[in-house]
Amino acid sequence: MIIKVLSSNVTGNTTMNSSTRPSRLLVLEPVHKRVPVEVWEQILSYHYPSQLSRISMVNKNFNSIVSLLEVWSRMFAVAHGPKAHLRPLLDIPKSKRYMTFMCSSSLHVCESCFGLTEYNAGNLSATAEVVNLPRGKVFDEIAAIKCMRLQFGGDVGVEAYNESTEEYDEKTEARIRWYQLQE
Amino acid sequence: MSAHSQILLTSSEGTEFIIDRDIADKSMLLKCMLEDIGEIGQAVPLPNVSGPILTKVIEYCTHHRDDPNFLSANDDVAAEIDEWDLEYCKVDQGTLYELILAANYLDIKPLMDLTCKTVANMIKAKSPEEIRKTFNITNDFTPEEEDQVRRENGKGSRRLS
Repeated sequence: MIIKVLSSNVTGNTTMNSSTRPSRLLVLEPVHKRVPVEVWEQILSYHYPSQLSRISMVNKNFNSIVSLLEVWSRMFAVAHGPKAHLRPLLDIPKSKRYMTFMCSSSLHVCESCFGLTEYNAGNLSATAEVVNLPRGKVFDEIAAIKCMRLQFGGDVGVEAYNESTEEYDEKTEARIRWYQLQE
Repeated sequence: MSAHSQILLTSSEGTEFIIDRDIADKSMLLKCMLEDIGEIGQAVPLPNVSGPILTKVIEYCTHHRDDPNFLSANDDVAAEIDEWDLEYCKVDQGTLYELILAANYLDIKPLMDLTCKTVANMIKAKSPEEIRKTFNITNDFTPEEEDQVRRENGKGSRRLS
């Protein structure tokens, strides 16, 4: 009776039959693959967008997990308004992923303006000014994270301010041109 | 039911563990099960959890047995991990994943939060190449796909590996 109750609660692990010998499983299969997607989603909820975009470059599996996170569509809605539609981007293959749009159209200046693109920035000269200044000197980092969490919800950028020492070593002007959006 | 009742658990290898009811109640799976069917004096089999991992899980639940904020303590995701918990998570990667799986299976949310946060911290501030190294993941992108992913991420020329 108990056994029945328990086995109905087993998580979606396909290797359950051999669960009596877990040590052997460890050898056969990397452990991270046995971690269910929901668990990865929770782990990834502690990361902020530019970290997520980095994680998506690890392999195909991570790429699909990261790009399907709900946070991207929420960010898109916050940055572009609830009724906005995805638009095709220059140089980027057509995609229905919110993540692709948010990452490739982002200026990657700082987390607080991750959603700030030429598409919605409105005042381009103001944007350019921000971009030309070295990152970290424009914004108070912690304030920026707070602002981002305020904008995009509590589960984005939890630990981001610890990351803020990371340097953005590339000039961004070229990127801005590159992100020009098609109308 | 008496406050001192005890529960018998069996790990995947068949090792038996006797724990107090209030410790078992930290696991939502066990709690709901015990509430539903009552204590029938038989061992509860946990085929997904090995002995060493179950020991670790019980250690965690025992440490937090009188913690009044057990279920709400981690609601603030930005909260600092306390020292004992930090020490508790200093285990090898395999054990850490097993703990996550066990916490997920047994439905112990605070332990889940703690272990997930620990893995998140391991990934944080790492380049894709470093993440692959840390978790022993193979890069299954073809060069073309990798290039496309980089472009999609708007990082065509950034330091990546």
